[in-house]
Amino acid sequence: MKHTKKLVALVLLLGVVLLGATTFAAAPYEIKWYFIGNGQQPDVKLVEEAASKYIQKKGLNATLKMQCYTWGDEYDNRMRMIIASGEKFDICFTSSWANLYKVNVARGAFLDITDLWKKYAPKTRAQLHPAFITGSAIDGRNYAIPANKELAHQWGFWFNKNLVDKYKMDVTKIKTLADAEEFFKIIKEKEPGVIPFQNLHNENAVRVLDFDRIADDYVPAVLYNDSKDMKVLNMLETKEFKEYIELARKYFLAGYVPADAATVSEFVTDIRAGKVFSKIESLKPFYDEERTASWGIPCVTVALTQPVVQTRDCTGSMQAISKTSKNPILALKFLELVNTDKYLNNLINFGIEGKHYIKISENVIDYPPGVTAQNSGYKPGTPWMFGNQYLNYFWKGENTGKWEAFKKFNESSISAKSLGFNFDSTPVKNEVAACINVWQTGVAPLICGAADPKTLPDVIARFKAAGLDKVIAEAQRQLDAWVKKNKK
Amino acid sequence: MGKEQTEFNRLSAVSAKTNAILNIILLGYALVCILPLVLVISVSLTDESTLALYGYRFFPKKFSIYAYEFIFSTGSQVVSAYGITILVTVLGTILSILIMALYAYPISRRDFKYKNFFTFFLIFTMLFNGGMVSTYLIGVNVLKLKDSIWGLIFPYLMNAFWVIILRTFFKTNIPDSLIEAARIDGAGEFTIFFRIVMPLALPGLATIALFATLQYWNDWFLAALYINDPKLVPLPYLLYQVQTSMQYLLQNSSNIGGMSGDILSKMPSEAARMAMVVIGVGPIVLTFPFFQKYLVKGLTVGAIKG
Amino acid sequence: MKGKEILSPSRTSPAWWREIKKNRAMFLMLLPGVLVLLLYNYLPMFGIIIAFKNFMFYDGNFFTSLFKSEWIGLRNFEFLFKTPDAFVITRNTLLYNLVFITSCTIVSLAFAIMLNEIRSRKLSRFYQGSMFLPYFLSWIVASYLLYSFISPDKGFINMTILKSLGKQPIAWYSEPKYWPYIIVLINGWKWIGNNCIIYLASIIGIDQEFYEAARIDGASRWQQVIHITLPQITPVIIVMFLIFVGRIFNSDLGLFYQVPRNAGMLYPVTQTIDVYVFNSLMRMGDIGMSSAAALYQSVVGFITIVAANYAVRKIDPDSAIF
Repeated sequence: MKHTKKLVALVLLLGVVLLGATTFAAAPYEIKWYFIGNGQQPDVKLVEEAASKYIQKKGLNATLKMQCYTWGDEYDNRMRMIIASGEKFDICFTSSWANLYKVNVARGAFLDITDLWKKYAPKTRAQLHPAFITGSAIDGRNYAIPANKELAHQWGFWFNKNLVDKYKMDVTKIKTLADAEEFFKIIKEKEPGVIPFQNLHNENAVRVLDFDRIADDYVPAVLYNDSKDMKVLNMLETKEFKEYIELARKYFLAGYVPADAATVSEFVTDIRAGKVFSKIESLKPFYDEERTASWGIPCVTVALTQPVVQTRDCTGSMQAISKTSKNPILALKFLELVNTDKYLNNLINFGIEGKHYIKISENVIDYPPGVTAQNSGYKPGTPWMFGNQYLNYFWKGENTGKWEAFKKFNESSISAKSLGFNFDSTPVKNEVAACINVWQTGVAPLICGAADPKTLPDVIARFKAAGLDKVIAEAQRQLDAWVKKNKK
Repeated sequence: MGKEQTEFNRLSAVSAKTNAILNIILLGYALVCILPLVLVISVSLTDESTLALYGYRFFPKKFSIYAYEFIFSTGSQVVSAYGITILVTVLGTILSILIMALYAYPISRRDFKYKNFFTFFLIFTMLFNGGMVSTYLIGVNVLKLKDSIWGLIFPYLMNAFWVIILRTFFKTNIPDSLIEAARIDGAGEFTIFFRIVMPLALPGLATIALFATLQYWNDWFLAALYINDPKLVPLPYLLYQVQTSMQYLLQNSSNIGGMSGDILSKMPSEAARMAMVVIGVGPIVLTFPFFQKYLVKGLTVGAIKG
Repeated sequence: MKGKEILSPSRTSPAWWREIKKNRAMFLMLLPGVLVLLLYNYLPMFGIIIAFKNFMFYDGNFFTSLFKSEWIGLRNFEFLFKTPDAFVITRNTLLYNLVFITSCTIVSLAFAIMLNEIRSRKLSRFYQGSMFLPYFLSWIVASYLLYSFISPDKGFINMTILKSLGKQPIAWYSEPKYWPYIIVLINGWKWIGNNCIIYLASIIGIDQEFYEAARIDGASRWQQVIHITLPQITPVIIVMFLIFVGRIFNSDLGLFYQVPRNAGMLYPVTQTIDVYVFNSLMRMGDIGMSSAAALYQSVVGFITIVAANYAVRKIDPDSAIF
């Protein structure tokens, strides 16, 4: 019934579009695309013109208008205004960390593309790992197209290679957090001024426990990745967590961790100054290469967990179609091109050949003479956002085996039992708000080791007062319903 | 004027001892306010790597102007942004002072029957607002402020707090008798306003004009709401964008992966943050004496009468 | 009544029209300001109803969405009260504001009088200009400057002062007891220059004839301050006070969030209503709940300002704002 209705609507919509297309064939439709990045590029107009010309040649009667907002609050604030005010636009970047996907879907901002996608962007859909499609669906419906890139997450150590080499440490034998202690000790004794273990509250080693945080990053209602009985737990009451905070405390008291770990959020500055020996990072193939380039410090990595796919991993970078779009089908067709057409994809990623880059071989590019990363007129620098990353060129010096490795990494990963489950916090939003607040005061100091583990019962009691049990019960209820429906 | 001023001071001055004590207190506090800015300037001129090792110092351990080069190289817009900011500040200050003074005067008049209503009408907007979304909606759809220079000016034309302050200045500094006398001489309300009220309230007007100038000069918020066109971006917004995205990239790694690489590896974060303050604040500090000129002039009622 | 007047062919124009004509000049002066307020402040006020709705996006524009969204009464307000921290955040907001109002007023007034009294105009200008400088430093920059002083392992105070005195370093960002002082001092540092200039301008505006008369009577400088300066600028002090009072439930997020670096352990003394709202809603992005919080602050502020104004009116009708 529901489907026939949708079908009818679809046919009607199609009719309208066709009618529109025939009557107004002359005027190309402007596809407006909002995304996050390093700000609007000076030469964006040139790229828009080239892209518009190209998609018209490909049969889409459209022009492209790109608008980039910067990192941090700006993208979120702008999109909140644009979406809430009902402004007309077609495509926007959405994810689990900026322009929040779940929130926008719950409010009805994005178009349900479950069926349209199959029809108008089939190739894009086919080339994605199936986990992407299940994981980014909410109640079985898709509202955004994930970018095709690495899928799983894997936690591990980042070590400063200079120091590892200097003291001839064999870090490969490290299997757990506790194993690293002997190395921290060496650094503490021999390298005054270097932080042995940068275990800050926002970039914390607690992530190595790799719980499936199904409710919110700051609410300790969790599942084990391999949960047999799908039981939602209070993370603070698990054995693993208790052991971890004891260890964190030990490291803190030994002076391995910065004294202000619970309050400092900026970690990159110290790393770049060579003042950090180790920290916990999310790893992926060729991570070392990328990080060495971005932080300027050579590194060694040691994986501590298995590559796992959780729901959140599938929603790290996506493009959604706005409900206010006047021509969603055209927008989808455009996204299909971005995801499958090598020329268009690289045009949006790297700009115009000869002006913003030159090819030095089939897939490898470099800056033209006189152009640098600093003065290039078009360098959004976010290839993980614009669709299919496997189509991207490589900058000179980058390892060209990367995409193969990504694919292998995705294949080797295991899926969390809850993959595809999305918690709807609306029924308990007051409790969630209160819990987030307790997290900041109570949990942040514990996981850095700045607070005595003896205070844990106290923190747990405060979470209970904030209504954590209600959140857990609600999560359990939703999860049970989801399990039943999906026969997991 | 200078002569009159000193003459008046000698007559009414405090004792030399009190004067010395007051000066010491004020100098002490002035230093508390100046030194942080000196520190900011010094840090902005320090080599980034020495900052991470030795922390902030009043004298750069290793001198470097790289932070400034970096800002000017990434934002080729800096110069045009200065232009926009100056235009907005000048236009905005003049207009807002005029509109606010015109509003403040009637509600300062004891004989104006509706003064309480209009005061309330004003105060109400200080407490209640429709929220960002609906304000944005009206701004874009009704007032057409999007990508318009007016988007940076219009919303700040009326500041309830300042209007009330101005009203109080008018009320306390301008005797009713003076207005009455002018009226008997046949002056219209507008003549009274421009010829008597405005000159007498000069210190108050200068103060509010200073506030308005600073607000227009420092504001990034309106640009973040209404401006997309790079040609209309004012300086504070440009700096705000660099600042917040820098902050974000230094605090988050897992979301955006290693792809932020190129910008991050060359970015002088600490020094750049301070250099942005210097670039943003520098020019406006120089306009200070201009406002102060009106602030100490203190026209007396006698001068007007005579 | 008005309708009748229009219907009946009377020769006199309606009463309201006569009123406008009588006060023509006054209304003309008010007009530009009224227009700005109507367009930019009053027109968007329909948005207040978001606070009472479960706001969802529907096809069409904001108005259709607003209209179609379900009424949920006061449910958006619940999160402000359902937290165990409700008391602490309210207490902090209120107490800090009370301390700010009194301390800022006294200190800026004192500075304004001093600036007016010292002999050298040049120095006076210099001091006054310097006091304004902190205003230019955003809270982010201020927080970094403060951090350079009180960072536990790099800060100037711990590493240089306390070390040379042979004392133990202090973990500033995890010791709540110091923060009430730090917050009050930093807030004063940032705003005193601004308030001071308002008082100074009103002192300068005082009619010099008052002082001349007092001098002839042989009043000392101090007596002149007490008997002329202070009474003359009392209306300004009262107005400043009333306006502050209207914001008694609001707090500067930068001061309470960025300056203490959102340190969890300091929350008992640094968390205000705004910080709580920011922390909990930042991740949920719920505009209904954020409008509810803002409305709650406005309503309390409104009640306080009306009450305070009423009290002032009882004592001195001329100093009341409305």
